[in-house]
Amino acid sequence: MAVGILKRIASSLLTIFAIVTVSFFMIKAAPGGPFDSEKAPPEAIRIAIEAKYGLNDPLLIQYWNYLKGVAQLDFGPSFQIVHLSVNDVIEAGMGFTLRIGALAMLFSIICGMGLGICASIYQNRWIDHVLMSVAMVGISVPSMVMGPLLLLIFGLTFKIFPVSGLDTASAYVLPVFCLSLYYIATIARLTRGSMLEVLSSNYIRTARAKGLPMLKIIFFHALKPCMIPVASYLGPATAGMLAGSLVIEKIFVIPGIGRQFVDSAFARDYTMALGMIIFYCTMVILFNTIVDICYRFLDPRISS
Amino acid sequence: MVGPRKLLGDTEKANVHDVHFEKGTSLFLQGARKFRKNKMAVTSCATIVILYIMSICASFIAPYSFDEGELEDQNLPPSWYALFMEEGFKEKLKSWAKAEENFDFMSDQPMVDRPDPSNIWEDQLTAAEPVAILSFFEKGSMAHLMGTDEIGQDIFSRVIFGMRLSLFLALTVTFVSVLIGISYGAISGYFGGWLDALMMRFVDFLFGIPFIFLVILLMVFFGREIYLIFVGLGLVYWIVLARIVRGQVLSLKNAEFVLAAKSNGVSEMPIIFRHIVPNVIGPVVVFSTLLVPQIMLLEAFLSFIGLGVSPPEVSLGILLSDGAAVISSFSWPMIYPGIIFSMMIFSMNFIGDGLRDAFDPKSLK
Repeated sequence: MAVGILKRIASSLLTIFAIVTVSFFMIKAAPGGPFDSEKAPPEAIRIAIEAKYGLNDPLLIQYWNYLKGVAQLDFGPSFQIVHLSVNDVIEAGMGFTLRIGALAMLFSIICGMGLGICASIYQNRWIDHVLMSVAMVGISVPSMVMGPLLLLIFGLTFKIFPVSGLDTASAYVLPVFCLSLYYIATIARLTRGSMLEVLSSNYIRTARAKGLPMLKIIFFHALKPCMIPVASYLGPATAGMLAGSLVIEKIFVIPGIGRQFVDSAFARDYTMALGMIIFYCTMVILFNTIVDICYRFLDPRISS
Repeated sequence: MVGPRKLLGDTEKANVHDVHFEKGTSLFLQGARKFRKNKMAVTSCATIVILYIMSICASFIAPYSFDEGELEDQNLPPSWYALFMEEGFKEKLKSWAKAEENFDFMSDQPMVDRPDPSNIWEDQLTAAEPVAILSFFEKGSMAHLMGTDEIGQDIFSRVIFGMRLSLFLALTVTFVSVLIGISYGAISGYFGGWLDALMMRFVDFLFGIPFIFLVILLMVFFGREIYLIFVGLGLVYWIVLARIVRGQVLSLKNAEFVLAAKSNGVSEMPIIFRHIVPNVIGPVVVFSTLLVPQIMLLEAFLSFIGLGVSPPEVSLGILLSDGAAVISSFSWPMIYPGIIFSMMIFSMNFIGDGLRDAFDPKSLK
């Protein structure tokens, strides 16, 4: 078990290293630069700046210096925003992004599994049909449609929730709901499927024959094996949610890092975009690793 | 199975040709029958076919071009809204527009009051310019089926053209990923050994990378060219497919027909692509129908955050993004593209699910 976990962590680190490398060289290979705008600084200043930040060094040396920086969690200065380093920007925004993401993840696991179990218990009755139809809608209406619609209905027409920002607790409701809808629906479908499979297995029949109450069977016998496919979905779900937060932050005007990421991409702010990509990818990989390690406890067959 | 035999006591002599055998049903026919029984899937198929035809014939169906707009037509609501306006409100509007037209900015007379909106559509209408509202009533009820946007472009036409681009993108990317996925998976599965181990290690490794962020990087730093969106997306989605194909090939490569081909001296590549690949096409088709909506979503996502298709080209993502930007004043630039887009994704998901239920050997039993 321990060896397996160590191996998993090592491969995650390797993945992060590969991402840093690939994105670093992609950015260096890209045409244009932050000094190519119409208001470019005079030649002499530009040369001085490039010398100061080592932009004229051989590529490998720049790469090595960048790696050293990343290893110390220092992503360097921004090329566009005065006085701010990439770290400052990430620190300022990541609270919002991660809070929304964590809440949405929690919400979708709880609701998704709850609804999925509900549907599987009442298989082929009206509750099941209603829940699965709603889940299909949840999967098919993307957040860039659902977000503005929710905003229009609950924010502008009925004025129940605030339209933008994250100042009050009620401001979290719409963004979190909007971000998690797709994942609630997917997890509900997954849970229903795997629950049905588990419920038809022999040991559940034995438990029933012993006369155990249904709720007890579901929560003490069936829940753990039923969680395995859900757990393996959580990895891709994290990546999807972090990407989805770019959309949510735009719709609900949330000062998270998504906005900065897109802006930096437009402004050719190399260090910023690089730092953001590394941050996002590391978050996803970190969570994937945690999920994978939990997965081993859920399903001991994996570790062999 | 033996059909009804003629009884010996019959006057007519039993003929060996009358003993007919029931035709066997192939897996494909069984699946097709099952699929046809699935009402939702069939309806979805019809919807998608209609939308496909509409987008293929975009230039004939769309009343306007996707980038033409009269500035004086900006922010017009869908023209059929006029059918639901109260008669009194129309009169009020006309007098208000006339008053505003004759309004003298230099005089001291008070500003003209806008009519009091009594429902939400009228509320949105009064947010528009008086000239626009006037022309809204003058242009008749079919002028702009879904209204117009901020610069007076017809949203209905833009939806049709946007649909065309989104569908084209999604189908091309799916095709590219299917090609890469099949070749990679088939080669890896067929040859096995160290090559398989190496190739699958590589796939596992790629699987751990959150590609969406690297695609964003690709969009940005190599310019927002549409063909790069193809490449970027195609590079992401073949991975799952390669795994599926490899699994299938592993179970097929020791089958008798492969052995027969080998003993006839067919070389390896033709065996893989002429003999094995056609047999794994089933799961591939199912997976790729489910892939199309995913790629449409991804395209919309990229365009929505401003990194996908760039104006004046129009895709559904661009329309949604434009609509979301003005949602607090006007609802129609968001709602109608949203409905069409959701409808497409919805139908494609249903078709994919229907195909999976119909052709998955597990569910055949």
